[in-house]
Amino acid sequence: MNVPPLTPVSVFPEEPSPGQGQAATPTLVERLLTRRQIRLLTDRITHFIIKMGGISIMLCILGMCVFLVKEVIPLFLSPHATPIEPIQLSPLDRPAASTLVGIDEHQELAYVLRDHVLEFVFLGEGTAALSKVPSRGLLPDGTVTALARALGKGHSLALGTGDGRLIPVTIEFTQDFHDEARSIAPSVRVGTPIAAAPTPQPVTKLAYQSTDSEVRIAALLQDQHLWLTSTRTVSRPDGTTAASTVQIDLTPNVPGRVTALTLASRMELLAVGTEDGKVYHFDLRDTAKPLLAETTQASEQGNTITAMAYLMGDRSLVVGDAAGQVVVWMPVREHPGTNQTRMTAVHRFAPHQSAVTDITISQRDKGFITTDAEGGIRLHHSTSAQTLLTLSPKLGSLRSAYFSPKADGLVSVSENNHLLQFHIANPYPEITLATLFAPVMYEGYERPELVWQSSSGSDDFEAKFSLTPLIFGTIKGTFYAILLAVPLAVLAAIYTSMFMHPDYRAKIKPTIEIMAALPTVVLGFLAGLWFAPVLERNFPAMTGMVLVAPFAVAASAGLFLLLPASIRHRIRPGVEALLMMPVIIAVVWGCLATNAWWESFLFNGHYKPWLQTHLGLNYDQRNAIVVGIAMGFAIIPIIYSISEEALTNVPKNLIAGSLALGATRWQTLMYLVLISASPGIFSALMIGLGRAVGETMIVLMATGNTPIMDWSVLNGFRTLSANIAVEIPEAPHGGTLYRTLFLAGLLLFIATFLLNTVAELVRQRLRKKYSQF
Amino acid sequence: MLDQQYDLKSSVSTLPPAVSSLEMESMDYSDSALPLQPGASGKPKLRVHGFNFYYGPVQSLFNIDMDIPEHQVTAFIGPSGCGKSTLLRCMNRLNDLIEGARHEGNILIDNMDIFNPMIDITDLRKRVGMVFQKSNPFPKSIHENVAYGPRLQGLKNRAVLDEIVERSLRGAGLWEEVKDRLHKSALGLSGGQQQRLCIARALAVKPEVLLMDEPCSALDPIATGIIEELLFSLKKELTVVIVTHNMQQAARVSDCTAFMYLGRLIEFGRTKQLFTNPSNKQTEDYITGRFG
Repeated sequence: MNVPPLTPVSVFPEEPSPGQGQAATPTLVERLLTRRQIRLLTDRITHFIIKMGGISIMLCILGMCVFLVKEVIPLFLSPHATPIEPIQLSPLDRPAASTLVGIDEHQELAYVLRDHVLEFVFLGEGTAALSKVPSRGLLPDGTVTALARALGKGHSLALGTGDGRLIPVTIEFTQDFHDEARSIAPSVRVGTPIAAAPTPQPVTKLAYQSTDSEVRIAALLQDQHLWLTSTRTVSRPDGTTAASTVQIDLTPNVPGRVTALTLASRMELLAVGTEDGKVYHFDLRDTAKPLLAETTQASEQGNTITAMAYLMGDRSLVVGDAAGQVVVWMPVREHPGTNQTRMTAVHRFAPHQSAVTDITISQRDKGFITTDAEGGIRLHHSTSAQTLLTLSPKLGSLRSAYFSPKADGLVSVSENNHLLQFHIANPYPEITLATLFAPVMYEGYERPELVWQSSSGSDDFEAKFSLTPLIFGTIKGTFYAILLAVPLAVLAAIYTSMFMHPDYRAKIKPTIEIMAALPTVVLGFLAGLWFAPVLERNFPAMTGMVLVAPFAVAASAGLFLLLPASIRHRIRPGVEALLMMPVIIAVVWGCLATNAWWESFLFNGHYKPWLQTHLGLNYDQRNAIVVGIAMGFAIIPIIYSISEEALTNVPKNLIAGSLALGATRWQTLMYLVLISASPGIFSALMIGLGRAVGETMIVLMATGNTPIMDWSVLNGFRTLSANIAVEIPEAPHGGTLYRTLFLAGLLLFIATFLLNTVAELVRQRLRKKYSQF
Repeated sequence: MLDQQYDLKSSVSTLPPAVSSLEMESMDYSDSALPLQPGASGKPKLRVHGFNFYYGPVQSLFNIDMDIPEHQVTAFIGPSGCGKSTLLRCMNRLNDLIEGARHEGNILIDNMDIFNPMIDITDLRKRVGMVFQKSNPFPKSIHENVAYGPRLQGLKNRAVLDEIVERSLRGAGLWEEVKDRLHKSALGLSGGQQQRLCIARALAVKPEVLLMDEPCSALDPIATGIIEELLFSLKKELTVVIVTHNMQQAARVSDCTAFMYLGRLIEFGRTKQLFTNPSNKQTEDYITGRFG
């Protein structure tokens, strides 16, 4: 082969050898050096700025995470009690038959009532040991035989006397401010005696409850007769008052020896505990005819019932017995649909080692404190069914205890006249992992359930903080949004990147991306206030569309293939979608126009009753379909945009390689492009998922925010994010709800963090496997 | 050694392209009379007739006429942007993908117009395989890469596929190097191996023509040498059209050479003839390195 030989040519014939000519001028060297230094400096500064940017972003995220955790951690700290040095009270001449103790809401001034002797003890500021207010006898004759406290707010006490009378005593604490120092002065008001029973017998046990106009007393006399006295004071128009009193002997209803009595705070219920472990539940709503509603064997071993108390709200009854058992009973509906309830032992707590001597309830929540004969003290919470604190000061049997009004302290008196005081830090007793995530037996429910209900109209309401329905709602909303958005967005991305005519692609892609700029509050507003009613009106037509549209599309595609080849070839590839538009519009219009026909054809005339009877489904106006469509609409642009980008970025030479092997566009898509673009499409799905999980405004406005757990597409739900938005205005700073909402935020944070991490790991794996470069 | 079977003096066209295209207007394509026949004994496989090609308003090929002989290696040379690759990509209609591309004139394969709307484009591409400038193995295993084409045609039998893969890899001279790692990713191969894999992949669908668009431009001399060796064995089976910037390569491997310049076919003839005694001044200037 005769190829002309190539003559070697010098590439840079004129170039001087390195170093020559430059070293000659020192100024040039200097300038070069400075330039090099400037370059180095610029490089370092840029490096530093970029590094700082990255680090500060990481710090911000870390800071957010730390802040969330910091707000949440107190929820799970176990409560603790700080003991205050016990105070020795002045000794009495003879052992007290009955003792009561109480404290003001600032825990500065305690009172101890031992029989007729009332003693105030200042506890504040190191002067604890000194009693500044001398003790005094409330009754001159000193024949007090029983004491009782009314449940609820304030310090309404009652003294039962040896001659069968009852003397109401009210203790009030008034605050004064002198020179910015607060001083507390107690005042004692002794009311008019009321006869507790027709027979003047010593009162041995007493239950007492009073309002402004009514007093109710259950008194056990020495002759074992149990008398219920109700006194109602009526104001007359002339200014005078008249009292009407009803006295009923309950003894025939209670066969055993009565050992414990308690009246509910609204006076409608009376519980009587006996020596053989039975509790008799009386319904006092009809004053004249008390009704023995139910008798329960509260102690299965037949132990004597020693203490009882209704928890705040009057539904749950705490029963303590001589063996130290502590059980919460509440009425539970026997059969769904009936109102017949049965007292049921719902929560059992760790038993005391000895007899329960007193039960004092919290005035803030469903907590209570029990004391025992060996001097043990326990703090319990009914909803969470846990014993939060166990204290054993070992100062002898405790006679009486009082849970301070703000539930942050405790005073108790022992048999050897010690006044014990504890400060209790227990701000979030109702929160445990179990109450947050597991089914809980609430008052008034038939079985343990997962419920979110943070507040209600009344103060004695049992707060229900189960996050499970909210997590469920989040998953449900995300699921339906993804179900709608992913097929639409990914298929649209495939169509535009692979099949659509580039002219249309250039218009359609930015149009879809503009959808992302629509504020979600607008989407939520449209979904909740416009689309939801439209869907409700046209539900049968929409169902019809779902049934008809696929056939219409398939049929029109088939008809297109039947066209003569000469006509088909005149249509540019990638324009088919436009030809499909009239078909879709016709189907939508046709179905909407025949809504009534669809309703009678599919649903026998009325779709809501039909769904109810045939499928057992309830149609909510704001349901998962509305949210799925609205949230799907919100995440379609992001999934579409990223997937389209990923598909378009598949190297053209790979596609050309596949086509050159005789692959059709469809084969190239299925066997090559989708695989190569899979990391990008996967990222798109994950980003869409993360967006749907955290989406707030749409779910807030279009779900109805009902925290129920039901997969039905026709029901609403409540998501974690919407819950935060709904409830944060009602959550007092630092309260249980406030911190629980932060916990919800932390869960969302963790969920998105995990999603993103998993997504990144999978994406990297895919990229390593399928990426060229 | 390559050209003993041809009569060197038979017919080298020296007609200017415009003239020959005028003549072509009235020609019957099925006629065996060939205006530009570099080798008398070579039956034309591909025939290009009065071919113009436009990227939108820009015309990039002007009145190309050439007959590419069967079972020979035809090289396209010319400076960058002269339309070599465009012409090559027209031969299996890969330029259809480009928006705004259109053409005039015809390209016939075995006297069948490849632009006939009734022709199945995927069939054409099966008959006219292509190897690209930059190796483009699919992000799959070596085996899957080679079996890709047969699988598209619905071939599922494992044993048959294995046999095709082995035969194709042997045909591309890659078998011995990869037989132990057939199911490893093709992306782990070296550049030269990847390019031979692409050749094997193209061979697996048994094409009649293999278009090669600067297949060695990204390869080192050893890998280039291996592929050039390959061309000698390949042309027994099929017709090869190769675009190259490397004139020594064109001289080494091809039987016929077409020199193109600014979208026109300047000279087309036997390689030996064209390199030793070019009839056109521009050709001479180019091959002697005076421009381009």
